[in-house]
Amino acid sequence: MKLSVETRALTRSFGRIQAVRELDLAIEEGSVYALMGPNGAGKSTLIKLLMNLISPSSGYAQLLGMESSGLRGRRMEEIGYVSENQKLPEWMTVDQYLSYCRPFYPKWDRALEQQLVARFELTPKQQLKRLSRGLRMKVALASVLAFRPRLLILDEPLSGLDPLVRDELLEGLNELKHQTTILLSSHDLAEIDSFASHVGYLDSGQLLLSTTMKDLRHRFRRVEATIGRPVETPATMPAEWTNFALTATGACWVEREYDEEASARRAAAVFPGTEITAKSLSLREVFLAIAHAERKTKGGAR
Amino acid sequence: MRLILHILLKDLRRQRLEILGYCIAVVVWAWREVHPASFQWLREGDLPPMLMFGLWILVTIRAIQGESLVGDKEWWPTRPYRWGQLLAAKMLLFVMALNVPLLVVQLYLLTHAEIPLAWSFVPRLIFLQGMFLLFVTFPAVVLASVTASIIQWVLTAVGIVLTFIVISWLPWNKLPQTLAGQEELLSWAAALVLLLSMLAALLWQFARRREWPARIVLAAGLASIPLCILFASTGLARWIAYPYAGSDNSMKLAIKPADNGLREFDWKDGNEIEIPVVDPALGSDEVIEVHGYRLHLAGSGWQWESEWQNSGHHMVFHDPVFNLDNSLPKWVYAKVEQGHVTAQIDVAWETYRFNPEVRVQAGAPDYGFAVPGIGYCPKATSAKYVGFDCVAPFTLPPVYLLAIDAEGNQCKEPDGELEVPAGHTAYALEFGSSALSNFDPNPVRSFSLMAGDWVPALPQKSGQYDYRSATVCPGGSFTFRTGQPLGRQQATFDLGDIGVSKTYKPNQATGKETENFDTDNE
Repeated sequence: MKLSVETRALTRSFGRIQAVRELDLAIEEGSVYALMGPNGAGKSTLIKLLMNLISPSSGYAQLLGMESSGLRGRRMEEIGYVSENQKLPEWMTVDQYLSYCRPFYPKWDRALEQQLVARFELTPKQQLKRLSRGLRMKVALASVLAFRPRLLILDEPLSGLDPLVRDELLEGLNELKHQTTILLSSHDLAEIDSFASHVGYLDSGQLLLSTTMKDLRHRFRRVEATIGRPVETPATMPAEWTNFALTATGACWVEREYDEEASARRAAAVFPGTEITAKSLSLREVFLAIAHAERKTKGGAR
Repeated sequence: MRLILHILLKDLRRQRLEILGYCIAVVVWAWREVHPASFQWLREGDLPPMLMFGLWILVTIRAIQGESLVGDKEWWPTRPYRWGQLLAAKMLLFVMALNVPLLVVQLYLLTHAEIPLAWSFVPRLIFLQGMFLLFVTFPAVVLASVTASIIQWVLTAVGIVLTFIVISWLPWNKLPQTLAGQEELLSWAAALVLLLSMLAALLWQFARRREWPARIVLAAGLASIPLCILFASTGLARWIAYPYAGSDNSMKLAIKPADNGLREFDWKDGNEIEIPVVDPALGSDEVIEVHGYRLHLAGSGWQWESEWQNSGHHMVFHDPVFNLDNSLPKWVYAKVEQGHVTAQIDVAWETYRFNPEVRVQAGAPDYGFAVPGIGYCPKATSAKYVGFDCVAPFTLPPVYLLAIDAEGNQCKEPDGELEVPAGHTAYALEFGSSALSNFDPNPVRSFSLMAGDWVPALPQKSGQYDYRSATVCPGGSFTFRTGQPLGRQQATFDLGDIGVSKTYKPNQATGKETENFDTDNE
């Protein structure tokens, strides 16, 4: 398995606060990795560490086999990076910006550039400072897609954009899916749901989960138990359960390590004689389940 | 190279208006330089050079911060920029947009001053542009590389200026006096430390973009200035600046013999001693510039040593005397009054050697003439004044001596004044610089052909001396010698017995001590 991104015990502290803690991450080549996590989880810090925009306190990261601390100059020719709050040269027009970026990349595809300009409906003579946020993101994306990067890193590229623009951007990304490794952090779980092949969940600088979407969908299930008699919330529950609630017919919860037999055994142990049914979860539901569980754990720890 | 030009063209397009503004400011400044009498308001507060250098710095800051090296939100660090190419592109921009317009205007100023352009000016012009790159562009670039905006740049610059002010407030007067050579050593040491710290910060920022280590390096450079000052005041620094003269030292110092054969001392206000010292062996092609001295006095069972004192005395063949002027503690003065006291002086000096003398014939009022080795005198200054205002390119020689003798003097003497008799000569000894050029945007230096008093002094009918000074008038002739420094040295000289009882010389008219002639009080 060839890795496009790999980190080992990557840590970044700001004073006493550890924004990224001992983080081990592996992103396979050709995958679309969605990095999820609540605000302040450390997603942007992790991405800045990967892009050598800030230096790690300890640990290391590799991108395309190159150590991130040495990532500059020619080594950037195969890596594209777009961030929601990136400062662009606003005095340039769209055309000037793309023309300016062009000579830096030996693999710049002029035809693709024109296609992207047309697809994103960009006005070449318009100054970047006069563009809306969505259009600026499109320009930024066009400027990194045009050289067909081997690795594309996107930090919240979709946040704050209207659904139409988001769709257009994702369409643009979709075309690259099989030739480029994409790492993106986003809150737009609904879109990522159909787009990402891998997912990671970051909270308080720690990677709590990193797996494939297929595995995630399999592991996280909403379980409904039909018990046939009134029950109370049990005092102790299996560790795999979260988001427990009582229903008219019994109870429901989110199973974090779903397995048909094991899950049935766990349900029977708490509610003898019960029957369970399991349903798939959307990425958003998974995200919320993990967030709730994590909050509960932290509350318990306090 | 392709990417360097690509970045350069982008910056030229982005900053075209500022660069245009700068070019206009350069032209306005040059116009004011050649028309000093016009538009007086332009002279107020040196507006044109301030505007010129203000825009110079603005162009510099904006160019560097166009690809800001501070912060983690810039778009360009995640692009395949090579830092060496980026830095080269910026430097090329500064040379093209800032130095070249200045260079063009400097050539115009030289031509306007009627200085014929010569190939020998090329290294001097390059040196001058290098000085502006090093002392104006470079610090502005470094500061811009560790700041994120113009406001931050200005605030940091103000902070640095305040730091220098605070440093200057430290009680440096408690330290021993530093001599000219030590001051120069200090300047070199401080400049070296600052330039090295700035270079390290700049390279660090361009190569790694880690602003805090770069800022710390800069702060360390600034913090080392007081250490440089402390070092400059030490004996070691004095020894480095003025190595001890060996056995080949040609300088000889002795107390100047008085006309009546006695040693003569002038005494000031009780606590001061003034000893006229002469170098009897001073060659006619030498100038000694005494930078400082220290007096040792010793008597029976006591001795005293002064601190090193700064001095700006010169000894030249026509005036080989300088006065050691020392304040004495009361107890030392009392000892000196009582009897035999032997004196020694440590002297630190710089020797200059003159080139052979050149006789120059001044032209008629409307015709200029060259002064070999220094410059040109385009024409008589004006109908109002006699004499010539002369110009030199880039710098004046390290030392030069103008001598006007009575034979070459063509000036019309004022009514009632006697003609200057033969055998009298007037001299002017001036010091310039050893550098290829002065650090001045205007490469035209001016000098006058004015000499001091006639030597020997002109007697008048009343018996009083006539302190008329001399100048070169149209049609006259004069001799000119330029010279260069040979080096700095220090040595100790025995002056022998200076006991006041031996030398006290009452003034015949008043019965008081010999009156001290102090030119400063005239």
